Amino acid sequence: MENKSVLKDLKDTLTLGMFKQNPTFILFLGMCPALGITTKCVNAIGMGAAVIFVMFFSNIIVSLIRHIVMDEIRIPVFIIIIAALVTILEMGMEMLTPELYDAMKVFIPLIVANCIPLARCEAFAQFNNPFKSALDAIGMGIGFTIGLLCLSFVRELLGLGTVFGVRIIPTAFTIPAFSSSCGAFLTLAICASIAAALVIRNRKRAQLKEEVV
Amino acid sequence: MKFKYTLSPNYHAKTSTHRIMYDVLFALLFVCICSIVLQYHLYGIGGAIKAIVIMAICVITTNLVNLIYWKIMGVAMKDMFDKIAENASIITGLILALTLPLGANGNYEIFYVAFIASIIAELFGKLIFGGFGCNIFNPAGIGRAFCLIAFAKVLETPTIDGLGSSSPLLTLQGNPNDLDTVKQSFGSFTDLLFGFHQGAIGETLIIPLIIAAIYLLARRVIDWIIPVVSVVCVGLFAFFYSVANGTFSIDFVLIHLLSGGLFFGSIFMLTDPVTNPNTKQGKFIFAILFALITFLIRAKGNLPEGVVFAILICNMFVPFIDSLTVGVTNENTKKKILSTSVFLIICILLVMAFTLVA
Repeated sequence: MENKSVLKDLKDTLTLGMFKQNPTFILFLGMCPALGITTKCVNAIGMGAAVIFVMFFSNIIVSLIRHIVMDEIRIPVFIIIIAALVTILEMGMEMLTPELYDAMKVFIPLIVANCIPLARCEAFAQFNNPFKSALDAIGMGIGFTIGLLCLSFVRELLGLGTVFGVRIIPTAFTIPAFSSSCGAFLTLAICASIAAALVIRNRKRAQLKEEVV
Repeated sequence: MKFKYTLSPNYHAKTSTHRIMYDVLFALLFVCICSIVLQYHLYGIGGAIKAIVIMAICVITTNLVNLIYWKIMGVAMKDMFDKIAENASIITGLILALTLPLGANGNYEIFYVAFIASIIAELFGKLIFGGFGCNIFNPAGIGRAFCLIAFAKVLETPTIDGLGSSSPLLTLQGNPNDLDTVKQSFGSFTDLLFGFHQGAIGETLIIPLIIAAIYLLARRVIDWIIPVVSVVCVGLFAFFYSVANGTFSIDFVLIHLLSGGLFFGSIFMLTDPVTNPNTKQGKFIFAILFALITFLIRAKGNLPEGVVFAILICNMFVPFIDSLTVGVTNENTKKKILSTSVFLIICILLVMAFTLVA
């Protein structure tokens, strides 16, 4: 019995970031890359992988040192850890995938300023053990990737007429505004409003259930 | 003695939203028919059919978007007709259609542009905010601005058939100091007055637009302040700009007054009852601000025409203007006139100062 509840707890930790507290649509964290690089689906996957990498290691390191770090200086310490990881990532990406690196040049160093890794260190990793923190990082990272993919799917389809580089809509029927910033804001607003509508619907259903019980 | 008890509001004005909308629709249809006749005169039967198709696409799309939206929101099918009529989507569609250009001969991309612009106008301009009466921006203006950004290439390509010229304001932007070239591009001012030049479907018909405005004024659908003040102020700003520039000529003022969407925008789009200030003084300030932004975009901006963006920017300022003017119960007319004229003088000085900016 106890074993089951532990498993459920772990599962909740993993899925929390994916849907219930999706960083892009519910928490509105990491808006800068969500608006900036989502012109193509490939960029979204690359950005998501980069953020998962950084969050995974930063969450583990922070939760390992959570008893050593003093409360007063915790944020600088977290930032230094994240910055070091991002620097490693940047160098690695430049060596391994130069094309992807070119596509999202400015946004890789900006992961340091991205709110999600710091928010998860602050809100989760400094209170939990390394294993749970790692799960949380993966869940949140996947949630972020899902958010980016939703945005970039709509924007690439309408703006460039392609999905993952495969042409679906002929060039004559594309709406180029969706590749520019105004399309980014529009798409984000639509997706976030749909997410909000789903949240409200779920809450109502849960209330109904409670009333029935 | 007998008292009659009713709930508030207790005033008995004959104007209802429905009657206003029928009047606006009537005026718009008049402009539409005039513009179809004009397109027939300019481009032959092909131009007329193209204009009719653009109008049909806009009206049908706005109504369809309404239908789908209210269906999703859970409105029953039997209430649907009332709901769509209440949202005045025909008017939005027609206004949007009249602001679109005809496009080059044999080029049908404009139909796609009209389709997308209608969706954006109806959905993001009106329905997202909760339908007619809740929108903060002019819906047709939003659709027009979006397709101006999204399809700049389609809309800016000068049509090289029929008249063989680009729109007067586009030529003016190309040669700001060479009025003769600009005048050559459209012939004479009577041509400009009767709409024999390049432009959007509805905006070139100055005389039918004025007739429509007089009809709307007579039916008390629109207030005289906004159209008159905004047109006069654009003239004033053009006058003072050219005086400060040292290149004064009455032609410059006339070109700014008669070309572009100034008349159409100030009569049909700026007077939208939803996105207007509520007081007389507010309307004066609103119209002056509109004229200022329109003129500055035309003279100093990157775009040849600034009416649409000026309308949207002014819509943003409406709550602010209202907060300044609504609720002042003691009628100090002198003070109001003084403050409005001070605002106008500041605007004129601003326009004159802009001549110094390169």
